[in-house]
Amino acid sequence: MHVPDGFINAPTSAATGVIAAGAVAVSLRGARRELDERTAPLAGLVAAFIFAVQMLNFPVAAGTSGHLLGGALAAILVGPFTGVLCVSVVLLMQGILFADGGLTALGVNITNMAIVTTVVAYALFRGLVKVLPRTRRSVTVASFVAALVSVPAAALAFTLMYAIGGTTDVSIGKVATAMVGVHLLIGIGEAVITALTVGAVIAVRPDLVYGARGLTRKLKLRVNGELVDAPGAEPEPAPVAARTSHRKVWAAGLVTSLVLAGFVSFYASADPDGLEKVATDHGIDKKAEEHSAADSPLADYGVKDVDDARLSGGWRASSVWVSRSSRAPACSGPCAAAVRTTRPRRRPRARRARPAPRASDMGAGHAHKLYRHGHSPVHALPPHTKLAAVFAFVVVVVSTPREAMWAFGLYAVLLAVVAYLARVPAGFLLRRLLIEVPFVAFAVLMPFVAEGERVDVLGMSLSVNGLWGAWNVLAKGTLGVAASVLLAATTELRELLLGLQRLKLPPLLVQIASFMIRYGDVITDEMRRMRIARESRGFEARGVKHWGVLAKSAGALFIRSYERGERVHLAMVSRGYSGAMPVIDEVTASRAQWSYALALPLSALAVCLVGWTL
Amino acid sequence: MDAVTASLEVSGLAFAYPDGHQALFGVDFAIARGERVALLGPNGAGKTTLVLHLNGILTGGTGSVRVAGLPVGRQHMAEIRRRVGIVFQDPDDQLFMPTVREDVAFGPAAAGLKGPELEERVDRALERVGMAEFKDRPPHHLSFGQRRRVAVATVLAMEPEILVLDEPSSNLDPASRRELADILRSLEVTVLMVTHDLPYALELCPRSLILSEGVIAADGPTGELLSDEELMRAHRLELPFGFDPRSVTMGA
Ligand SMILES: Nc1ncnc2c1ncn2[C@@H]1O[C@H](COP(=O)(O)OP(=O)(O)OP(=O)(O)O)[C@@H](O)[C@H]1O
Ligand SMILES: [Mg+2]
Repeated sequence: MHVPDGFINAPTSAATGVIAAGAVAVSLRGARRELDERTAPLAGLVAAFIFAVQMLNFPVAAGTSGHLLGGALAAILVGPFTGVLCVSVVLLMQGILFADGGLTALGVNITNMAIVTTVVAYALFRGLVKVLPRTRRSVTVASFVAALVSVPAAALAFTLMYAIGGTTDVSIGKVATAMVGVHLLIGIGEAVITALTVGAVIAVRPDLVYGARGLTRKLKLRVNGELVDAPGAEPEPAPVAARTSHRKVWAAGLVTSLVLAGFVSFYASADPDGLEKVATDHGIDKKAEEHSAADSPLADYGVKDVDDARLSGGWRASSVWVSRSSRAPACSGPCAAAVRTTRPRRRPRARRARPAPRASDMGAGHAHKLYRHGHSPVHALPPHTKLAAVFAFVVVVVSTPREAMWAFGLYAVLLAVVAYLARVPAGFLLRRLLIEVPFVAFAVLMPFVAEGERVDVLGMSLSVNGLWGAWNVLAKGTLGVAASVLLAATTELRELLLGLQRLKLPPLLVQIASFMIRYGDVITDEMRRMRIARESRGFEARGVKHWGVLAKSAGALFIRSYERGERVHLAMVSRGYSGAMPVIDEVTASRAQWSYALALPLSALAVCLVGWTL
Repeated sequence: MDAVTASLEVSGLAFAYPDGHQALFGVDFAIARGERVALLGPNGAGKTTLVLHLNGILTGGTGSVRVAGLPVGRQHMAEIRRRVGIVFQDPDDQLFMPTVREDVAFGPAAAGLKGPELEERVDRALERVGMAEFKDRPPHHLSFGQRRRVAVATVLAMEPEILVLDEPSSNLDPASRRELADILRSLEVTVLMVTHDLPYALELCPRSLILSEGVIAADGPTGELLSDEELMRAHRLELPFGFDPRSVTMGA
């Protein structure tokens, strides 16, 4: 689950932003050390893989299915640094291109989903691999445990952030219990799939599994009938983690504490009240799904009927929400999206028959689904000014006191003006806003579960604080999504990348993003072909017992992605690449363009300041 | 052949992939400057693997590769990659930039070209392959054959001395196939062309090498090799129905 704007207050968002930026910077260095000039293509392709694999559905039972979060998998396959980078880039692109996850919540999302999962998983994994006997089975076991723990760990991190900067008063104990409890369950799925996938990769290309380096044998060559040792390319650098000797102790401590925390909260929450699976409100869920069959904003990922074709619409709209039956909150965890409920037996035909033209791309190159071609003054603005303006606008919105309801109305008017100037029709914008649906559900629950003073509305006892919280999340989240959608609707992908480059995002990060976008649909396409190949041989994944086959596909997909990354690197090298991308295009903005773009956040700022003083 | 003037010289090259599968078992041959040579052989013979050794993309086996006398290795890598241009089998691997123009510009820009000079180089290369009007399209929106042509342009833009093409004619329509042949003939460079298209090899390359099971099984004039039925059968090479290499008069 991608946290939207307004969920976590501004100071905490800023703090997590700093943490995320720091971690990404460290990872950039670390990845460079490991992959040197291959970093950009390889990390880009792995990011595209993670993006694709998050859409690979693993059916659980009775219409429920889950998908990988991928943090643990990335860490084990490509190492912690590259892993953090890849998942971060995926999140960044999801935020900018698809308005998925708030721009101001990027720090929160990256910290939870990219950093915590990856680091926890890798530390555990290395620890276990060192303790266990040196066999491939140990690698699988270690992957299982690492992935299992990584998910509740991210939930715990989210709870911590919520405790510090949550915008609604909900008992933190309950949040923690429910979050960690349910994510432990989700973690089991993640663990099985991760372990199977790592197993599938290690069976074919053991040298590709970063976490299992050192388990490979020396290559032999047969020359004129004699076996000789291959001189080998440059020796692989030893994994950084392998050098520290305290690691074992550290990892063991970590396992114990995390597993304990996980189990305690799991049992705590399994009291007579029990965990109750509150699937997303059916009305809402249904609405989102029907929509996706037609022209859904959620289909923007443009996944061409990947796996079971539900993804485009279903994967975010119907997360599982868990609450204690009395008043505990539903948890939109960083990870809740990992399991989604779907009404059984409604899926096959109608969905497959979705019109094919949709099968354009997740956006590579020039057309991503949110983009609307046009020649308005907003389209013509240089991309970096637009990025800066939208980001500043969202920051202002998030910093506005929630009591100043009129201010949010004015913000909405400001966005409407921009939409008008950009000739983005209202209908288009409103439809795109449905991306927010899960949070509407969350907001609806808030008044019921929050603490403090209560009021009676239509005979229901609601928490005042909860009502404010719901309003806060809805207003800020919606404005955030609307602003991002406007940005994406008026800026071509290529331009967005140039804008990010111009805004001094580290070049390596921009390159990784650019490769991810270039190859995103090549890889989802490969995934689709694999599914077609499976199905045309009579295989259809129906439940847990088919995970093995799907994980093998995921493993194969990883190998293909990685090898393609290698080939792309080779093609680059063949044309003289030596680590720095030549700058071919650059964007510039005049002062007038800047002031035009900044008019939006500046007027918003004026509104905000009035809001604080009133 | 005199080793000093050889444009490309490969000796004793053996190589195994990281998964342990050995693809080359000691390959020897030399190509003189300005020659056009076809590299023939069945699927899985190791042709692509060999090609990847020619500019140091694959290393770590035994034996040696020399380009214009320079050993392919760490110290001459930049020089060698400037001289050897490889068009890969899968154009998707080759076209990694967001637009056709940027992709073609990548090589020359990496070599330090800028501004109008760069634009001109890009335009010329695209013109040559007839893809000038696709300049601003993203590569993955092109058809396979168009991508292949752009891939050729990316290499032509670098003006290499040795041009290595891995199955350049596959997926091209007959007219494009002929146009590509015209381009190749018009260039004054050494060409090594991997192909399954035997008439194409005969048309373009006076000399051929047959790579089979990781070694060079035959080396000689293309017409002669293609007429040697026993040799052809032994290496799973088949001429298209009704094609007789002896009846073709070569205009190369
Ligand atoms: N990355 C790889 N890892 C392991 N084995 C490989 C790899 N690439 C190729 N091989 C194997 O090496 C052998 C030679 O492959 P290569 O791609 O060089 O064949 P080729 O002659 O180009 O075939 P084709 O005509 O089908 O393109 C094959 O048996 C192939 O399976
Ligand atoms: Mg080949």
